[in-house]
Amino acid sequence: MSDSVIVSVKNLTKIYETEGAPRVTALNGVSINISLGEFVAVMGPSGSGKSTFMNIVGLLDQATSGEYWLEGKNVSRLNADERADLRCQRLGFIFQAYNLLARTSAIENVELPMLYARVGAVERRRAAQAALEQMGVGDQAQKLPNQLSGGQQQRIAIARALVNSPSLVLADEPTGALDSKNSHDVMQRFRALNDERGLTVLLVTHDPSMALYAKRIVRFEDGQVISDAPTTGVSA
Amino acid sequence: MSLFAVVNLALHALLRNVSRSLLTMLGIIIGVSAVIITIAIGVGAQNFVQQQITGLGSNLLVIVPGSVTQVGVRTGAGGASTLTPADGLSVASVPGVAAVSPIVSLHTQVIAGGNNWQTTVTGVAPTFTFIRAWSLERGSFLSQSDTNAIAKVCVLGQTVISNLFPDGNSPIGKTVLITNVPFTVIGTLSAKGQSGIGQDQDDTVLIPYTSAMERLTGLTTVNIILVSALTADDVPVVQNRITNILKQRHRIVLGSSNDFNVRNLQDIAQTAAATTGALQALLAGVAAVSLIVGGIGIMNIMLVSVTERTREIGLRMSLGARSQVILEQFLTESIVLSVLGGIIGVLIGVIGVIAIALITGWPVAVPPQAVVLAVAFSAAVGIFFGYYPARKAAHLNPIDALHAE
Repeated sequence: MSDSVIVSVKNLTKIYETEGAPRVTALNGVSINISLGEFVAVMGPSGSGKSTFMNIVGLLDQATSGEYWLEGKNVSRLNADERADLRCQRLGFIFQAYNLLARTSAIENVELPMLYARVGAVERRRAAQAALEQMGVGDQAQKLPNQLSGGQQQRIAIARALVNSPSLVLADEPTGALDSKNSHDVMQRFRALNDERGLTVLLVTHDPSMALYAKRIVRFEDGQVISDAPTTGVSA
Repeated sequence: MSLFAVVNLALHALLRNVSRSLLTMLGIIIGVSAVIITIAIGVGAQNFVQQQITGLGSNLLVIVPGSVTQVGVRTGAGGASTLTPADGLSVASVPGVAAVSPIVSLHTQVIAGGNNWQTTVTGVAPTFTFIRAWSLERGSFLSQSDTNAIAKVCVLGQTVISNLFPDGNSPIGKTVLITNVPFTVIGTLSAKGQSGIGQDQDDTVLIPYTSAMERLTGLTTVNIILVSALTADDVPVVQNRITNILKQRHRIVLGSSNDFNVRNLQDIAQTAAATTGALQALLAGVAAVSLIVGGIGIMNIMLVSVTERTREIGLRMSLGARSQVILEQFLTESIVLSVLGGIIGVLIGVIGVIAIALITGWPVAVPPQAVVLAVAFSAAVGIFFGYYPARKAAHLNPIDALHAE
């Protein structure tokens, strides 16, 4: 396996078994490689398995069978603490609903992942401020989430995802709650991070116009990958 | 995370909802302040009793006459006039006895110049000041020669002085008429204040007991005999020896009841201490129940908080918080709640104690170990009742938590 492969999943399956409910196969033999510096959009209808795929890649969930290699390390069977540490150090999450802590200032929200990575207070503050400035919201550091627009909140969330220098950023419908102008702004920022810093991004979206910012589109249906191809045109 | 960071995080979370945090703490606040006030009053009551007992005299034994039955009618204790100065003399020779004083007291009018006053005139021995641990203010006390000479000399208490000699001049050398018998003032007593039952101890005139018997009562018996033992440990032994000697002297035959009683003030003190102790235990029990109820209140609110903040927990987990960290966070919140409640409770308790001291004048005291105990106990309540909600938070599934509504 090449060193440049960040995510490698082989024959991943996920079966939900609940008592009194029919057995659900959410993933059925998915195999994908994602290399360093890729920008991959995952698309597919509800129930196609793309969220399950994201949760497993994000180490929030574990597959029923199959293998998951993250940065050359088999992470298929890690315990909860080991997964938490990898989420902290190697992964960045961006959510549809921003998920900023209420009544907590923007900069403190950005500091949160560093708190769990045991970064010192002074360095935390400095790195958080730098991340906010990079996202163009440096002057909003002391504001509370409810004093900020959706676009600003999502940019703070991106700063939070990047602050521990992850090898992979997972964005789950990041523009789902934004208007068109802010959606394009957020996607342009992802694209710039990908182009300029070589950040590897895994994006889940319903919106084809957002998926066009990615360089590769993977389509899911019924728990399987039905297509995997580079994007042809990019709307700038 | 450092302890400081964890506590800071908890404070931050609690400050997001100040009124709820305060209400949650209320149970602990009430419990702890109740503990502090209870202990302060209990310690104060014990101090008070001890003060009274030592104020009466050190290692004191009191011999009182018993009751007698005359024509089928029993008098109460002290009804028999059986104690004599000779009894006192024989008691004085008992090993372990430091001092003895017969007491003859009568209520009568005293006159000095144009002023008169009704007071208690007490006939005592020269050892009286030693037995009662009472010092003189000025002049000299009644001497053995005064006693032997049945002298007409007296020593005045402060209340009597202020009523008979209101001009403030020294009464020493002046003459006081006691039931129309002139007595010369040779000394004054220092102020002693109220006794345990609210009696003004300074409202007294002391004269030799021989003078009291010969010149005032005309009786050959005394009211009571005060005995001071050498040490507190001697008191029970001395008590038995005195009882045996007086039995012989009074020719008490086997099987019949004594015509006297030897009372040990330490017994009374212990009874008083036991009573306050029992009361204190009862109040402490009530306070403990209130602390436990307070703890349940904390558990309740923390469970609500965990439910409300499920998304926050999911987010923190996705950002890399280990479940141990989540557990610590919520446990710290409940400990901070309960310890903060404990500290506020101590403050309110101390204010309450000061208020009680000011209003009632009781000698209350807050022992430092009670404060430490109260805060430690509230921390324990926080840990005990905070663990279940914290565990619940730590064991949430990150995906479910993230998608909770």
